[in-house]
Amino acid sequence: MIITILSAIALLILAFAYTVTLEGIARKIEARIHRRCGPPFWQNFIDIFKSLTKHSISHGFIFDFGVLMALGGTIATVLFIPAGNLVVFPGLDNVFVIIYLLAIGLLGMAMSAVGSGNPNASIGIGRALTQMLGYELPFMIVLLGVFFHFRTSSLSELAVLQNSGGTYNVLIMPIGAVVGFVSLMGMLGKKPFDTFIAPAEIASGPLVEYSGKYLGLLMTQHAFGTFIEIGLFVNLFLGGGKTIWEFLLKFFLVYFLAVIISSIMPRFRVEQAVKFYWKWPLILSFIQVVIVVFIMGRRV
Amino acid sequence: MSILTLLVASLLAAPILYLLAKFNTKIAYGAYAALQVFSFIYVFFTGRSNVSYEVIGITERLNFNFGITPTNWFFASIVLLIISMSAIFMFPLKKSPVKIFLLALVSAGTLGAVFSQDFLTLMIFWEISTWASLILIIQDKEKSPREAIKYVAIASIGTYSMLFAIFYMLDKLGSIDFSTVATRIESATVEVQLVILISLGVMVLAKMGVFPLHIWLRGSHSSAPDEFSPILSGALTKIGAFLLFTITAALPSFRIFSQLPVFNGIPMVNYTFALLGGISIVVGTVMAIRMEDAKELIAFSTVSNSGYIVMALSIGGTYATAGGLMHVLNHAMASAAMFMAIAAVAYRTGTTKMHEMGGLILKMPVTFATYLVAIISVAGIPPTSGFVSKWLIYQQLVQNGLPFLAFAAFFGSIGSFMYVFKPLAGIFLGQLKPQHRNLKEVPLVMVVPMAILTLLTVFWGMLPSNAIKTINAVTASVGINAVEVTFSRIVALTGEWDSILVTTVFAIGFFISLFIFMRAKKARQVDLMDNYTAGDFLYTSELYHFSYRMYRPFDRLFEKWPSMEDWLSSLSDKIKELGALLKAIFYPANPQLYIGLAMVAIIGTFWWLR
Repeated sequence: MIITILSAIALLILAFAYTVTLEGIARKIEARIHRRCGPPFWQNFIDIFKSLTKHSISHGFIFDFGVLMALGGTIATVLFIPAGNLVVFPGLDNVFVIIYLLAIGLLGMAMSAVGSGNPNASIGIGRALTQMLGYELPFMIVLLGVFFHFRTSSLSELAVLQNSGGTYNVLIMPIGAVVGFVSLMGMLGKKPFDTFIAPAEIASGPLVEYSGKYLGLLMTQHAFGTFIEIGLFVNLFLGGGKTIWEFLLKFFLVYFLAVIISSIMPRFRVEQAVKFYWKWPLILSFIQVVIVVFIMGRRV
Repeated sequence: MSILTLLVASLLAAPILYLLAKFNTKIAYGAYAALQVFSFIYVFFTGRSNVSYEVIGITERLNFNFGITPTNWFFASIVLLIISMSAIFMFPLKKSPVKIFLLALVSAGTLGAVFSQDFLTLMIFWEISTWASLILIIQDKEKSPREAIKYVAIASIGTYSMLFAIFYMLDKLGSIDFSTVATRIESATVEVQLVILISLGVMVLAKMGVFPLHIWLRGSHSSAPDEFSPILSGALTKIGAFLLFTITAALPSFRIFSQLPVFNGIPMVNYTFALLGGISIVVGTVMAIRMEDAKELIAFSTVSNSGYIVMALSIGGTYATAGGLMHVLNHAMASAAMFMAIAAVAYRTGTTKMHEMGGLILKMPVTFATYLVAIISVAGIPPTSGFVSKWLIYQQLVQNGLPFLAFAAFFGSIGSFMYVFKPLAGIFLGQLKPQHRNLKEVPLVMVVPMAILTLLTVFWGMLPSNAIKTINAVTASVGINAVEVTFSRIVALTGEWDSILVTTVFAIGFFISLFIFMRAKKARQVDLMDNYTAGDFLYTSELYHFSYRMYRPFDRLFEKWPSMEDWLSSLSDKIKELGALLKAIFYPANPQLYIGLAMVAIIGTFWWLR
């Protein structure tokens, strides 16, 4: 019990500190790619803590409640992500639970944003939900193949099985891993799939009305969300890690691949994004899962 | 007292209530609600443990067979729960003697159908409730007769198909009892088995609103009186699930068809039904996302969720069967709660179009909470009961390795976020319309049933083991393995689900954020119109509420898709034209000639049939 609580606290602090640092470094790298100087890498910490101390405005009960639900749901989900050998709930961390728990946070965020009464926020949420139907489908189909192959959907077990088997899923199911990565870009809202925040077009979409502590809480939520999504990918396709350091290194690599790709991309319109996901990633994911189910079979 | 007494009592109640309503509608509606609540409580508490059968003989070969088995009890409890809750809910709405007569008939028919032990009894009582509901649909709204005709057409496809199956069974197997048919059908030839099970399956598709027989749901659910829609969607479509469970599990279609080609452990016939379920999940989801009327949207969500039930029960196996039965329970509660919430909103605002409302959350908080919990359950988000059923169905999809069915299941699940959010945003969130400034919450009579359904949804989400144990008893009675459960955990193939733990973790996360929230400076409360507008000035709140065609980009993707309704309506136009042509040729103005023509036709027919 005490160990669980301690490791939960450790995981939360790790997730927060590491992801926010990486987000800061990402801003720096993106700036350098754009031939700008860029902010210091601790800028995101400054942003979060400063906004938590500032004055803010509220648009009523659901505006507050949704933010709390969003952060609460996301914190709960982080605890089910195994980080190397730091596993809070071994055996219970199955992927369906993670994906649906994450949805609590999304729903909270969506309610709060629409509850602000700003149409920009509603447009953003509409786009986010539409895009979600795009990227989740190929991702889930690939996952079906992974679970079928390993007979488990527990993330920590999947990581252990890949490590003990000697190869990672990225080598066993390369097509699936590519699809997973493309879906991950959509989940993270990186370009070209960032139409739902589109700052120049709909004023940051869902985030348009937030200020002060609300913005601080949501930036924290975004950091945790990033940790969950990349953590999912690392555990599913790159074997997690034997130690926490290995996990963090892989996390770093995946995140930076996404950042580098996104910093040279333009933006899709939302229906283009959905069409894209339903074309190549979906076809590839079906090819992968058919290979897994009918040719490779289950892992012996 | 027995089930039979209850059934006779509720059949007799219909005319009595009608006469009573002629004098005083309030007393009649009260008596109706009392009767429904009583029959729910009676069935729920007495039918749980004892298995019993009752027979009314009509002729030597024809009996009405009723019985209480775990299966009957399970379906009856769900259906009666929904009916009794709606019966309380409808009290403040528009009353009429005809409606109460028909409502009483519907519940009597439903009661008879879910306790039936042979196909003919099932069909007769089912038809009673179908025809009563048909006339109920046309009571309130203007466009409804046309929709009711669609309902008749589709329902009769199912009914004739089932009638054919019954006569065929009597001819080939000599019996129509569930239990006798189950034993005799295994020794019959493959053709006989195929004909029987497929023609019964058509009835299931028609009554549950599964592709390709789904077109009646949109019109009839949305144009039905507001108080009847919860019953139509939550209770009546579930009788289809009862028949489906009977043909897939009780007459085990798996064992029967195991000689036919088997695909990933599923016989081809079952796979076809599961595929139809999958198609209706996708069709229902896409159409639901595109609707602008809240009731039409929920009607299409019913198509989608019926698809889940059909898919799960046709796949069979431990997890899918349990998941399918759990989904019957969840969807009954969730769709009834959603329809009730919309009915409550319509009761106050007089409309069900989403873009004509907005910002009702503070005006109708309980309705909002009901709707919120119901949609969380429909979207399958923990900690509501909707998660458990979807999770169990996924387990089976993974176990059998079924990517194409899984595609449909995932599509429906993720798509449901989109369509359930639309009414939430359009009706309850956003800017309040000026004409709705003085709205109040609905009366207590309407609040109570909504609250009960909400609490039950959360209860079975927190403690799914309670429902799963009951379902295990049902599946055990037809010889399917039980799902492993403990007090808070469900153990399945690919992992475990611990509802208590997850809820606790979520609560902890929520309190962490609440702590940070409270420690920070208090926010200044501003009006919803006090918004970022890029420097523009705003005076009219109704123009600042984004809800009409919320998913317009998504809409554009599907605009050019073929529409089954368009296709059918142009087909009906062609038939009308043909009729007009025949009329022009063969319908002389002169009556003598007309009679002469008729004589020739009759003589010709007689000669041909001779």
